[in-house]
Amino acid sequence: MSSQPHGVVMLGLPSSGKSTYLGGLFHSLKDSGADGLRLQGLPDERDYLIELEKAWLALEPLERSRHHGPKHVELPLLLGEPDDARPLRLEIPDVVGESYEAAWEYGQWEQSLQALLRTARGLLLFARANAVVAPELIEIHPSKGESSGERSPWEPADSPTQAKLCDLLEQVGEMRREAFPAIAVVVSAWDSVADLGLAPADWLQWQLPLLAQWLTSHKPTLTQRTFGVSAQGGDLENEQVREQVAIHAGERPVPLNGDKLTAPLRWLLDHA
Amino acid sequence: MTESSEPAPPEDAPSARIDDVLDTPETGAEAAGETGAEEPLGSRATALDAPEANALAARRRPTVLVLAGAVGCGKTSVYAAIYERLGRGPFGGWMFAGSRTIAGFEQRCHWWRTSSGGSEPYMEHTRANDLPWLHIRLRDSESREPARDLLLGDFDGEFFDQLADNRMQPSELPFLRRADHVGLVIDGEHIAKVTARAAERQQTEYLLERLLIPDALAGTDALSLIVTKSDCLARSRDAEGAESCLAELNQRASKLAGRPVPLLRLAVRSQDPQFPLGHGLETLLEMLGLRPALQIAADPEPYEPATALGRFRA
Repeated sequence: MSSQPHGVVMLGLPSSGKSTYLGGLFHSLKDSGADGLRLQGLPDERDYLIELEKAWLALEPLERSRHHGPKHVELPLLLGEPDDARPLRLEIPDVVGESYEAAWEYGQWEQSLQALLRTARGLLLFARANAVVAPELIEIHPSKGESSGERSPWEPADSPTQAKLCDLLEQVGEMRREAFPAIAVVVSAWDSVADLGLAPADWLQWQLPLLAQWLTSHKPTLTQRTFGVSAQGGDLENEQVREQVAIHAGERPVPLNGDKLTAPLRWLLDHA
Repeated sequence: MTESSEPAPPEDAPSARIDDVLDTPETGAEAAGETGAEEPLGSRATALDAPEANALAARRRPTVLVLAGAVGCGKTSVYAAIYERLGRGPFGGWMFAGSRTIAGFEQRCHWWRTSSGGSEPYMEHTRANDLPWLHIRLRDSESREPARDLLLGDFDGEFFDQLADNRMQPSELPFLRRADHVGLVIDGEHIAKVTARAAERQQTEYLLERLLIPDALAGTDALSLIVTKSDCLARSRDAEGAESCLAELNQRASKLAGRPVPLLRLAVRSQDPQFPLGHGLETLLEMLGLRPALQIAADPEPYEPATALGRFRA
């Protein structure tokens, strides 16, 4: 096995679905041959992953990660068909969204996260489909009657999702001297927008146009693709959906035009 | 970004270094200690200071645009509208390719948005001690050409009032000579109002004359006239008089410059649906694209990497 782990960093704002994805991914990788990817064995430091997996299987909402800094996660994988698989050590730390929020608001990065980002061979960039903060102009959505019209000062935290994600990518670009790794954009909670019938890349252009332009403008030096995933498998607040998902808790449905949980990772490993 | 070192220039980086020419002087009020609020320590800087802008200029050879005009004439709105319009998708054949000052654009666009809690769009006055340089990178939407960087000088209108009144010399505003494009901003709302027109015209002429004294600009071809709030002209009770005034100003500018000076009309944040967000910006971007840079007469000094990007004040 290669001594150098294959680093993939999950980049996303708080509650964008990174930890839920990791819990579901860990479970999916234990299925033999999922997307030509499977676990070679259980990792040594498995307690954190098992905790995430348990919550995922129990359909419990994952609390915000409480650890500070990137939580080290390393998975021994086999990549390829069973008779021709090659081993690979995947380092995919769980980074709390607050770390990225701080990078946006203050320009401050934890050293350990910077080190990971500088050497990462792929980025999983998370955007949650049902939690996009859009730059709404006043005349499009005029203030309702209850508003006194008093203006509140600019708070960076309240900025649109696309601005924050573009800025984080810009800062990663500075760290890496503009040499970007492959980027898989993961539109999480894809089930919440699947009914629109859009492909994930089209949804990105529609809902996060600044980010979509940023990604397109960096071609051909940047390899990128957009995926729609639903790690939860549906709206678990809805009791009917919850019951349906619970029947096959270990294998969540793939929504219309969406992708399997392993698809973004498999694509990244193929393009890194 | 903290804890990061300045990236080395790529091998094909231009060797120019543009020392100090993007610097900002003090206004009289600032020199007297009457400065506005400082950004608190640890907060995010929302634009580039002169050394950061110089470092970026040395690495990327941006097109430098400075809008010159009085307080409240709409300079900042023009810059903000470029970003706000791109936030809705590519336009005018250009797409967003990045920015070192996304936070700065966000701050400026805040007062146009529902998140501000306001019921009408508003733009804050740029203060003399605000960091002046905004950066945006654009690429043609067909990706045929490499991306282009724009440095946008967002200066307090007080500088230009002082320049027009002869309280300040062009040499004290070195960014004017460095700029590839200097847009003399004419407030269309003032031109549209009969009662405000004469004063606006007079102030424009004073500033025009000062901008066109020898060596104030890199060349007379850097100059253009930018009419902001041009939606007001159509609503003017004396539209004919307003148009005539603009034509005469344009003629005067062309005569002083010794060449035709372009006149652009913008209405970037009108409430009139006939003038959608960013109206007229296509022509501005086209002008910047047609002639991205002027040649600086002085020989460039050898490239010396800056020691720190200092992207943030933290």
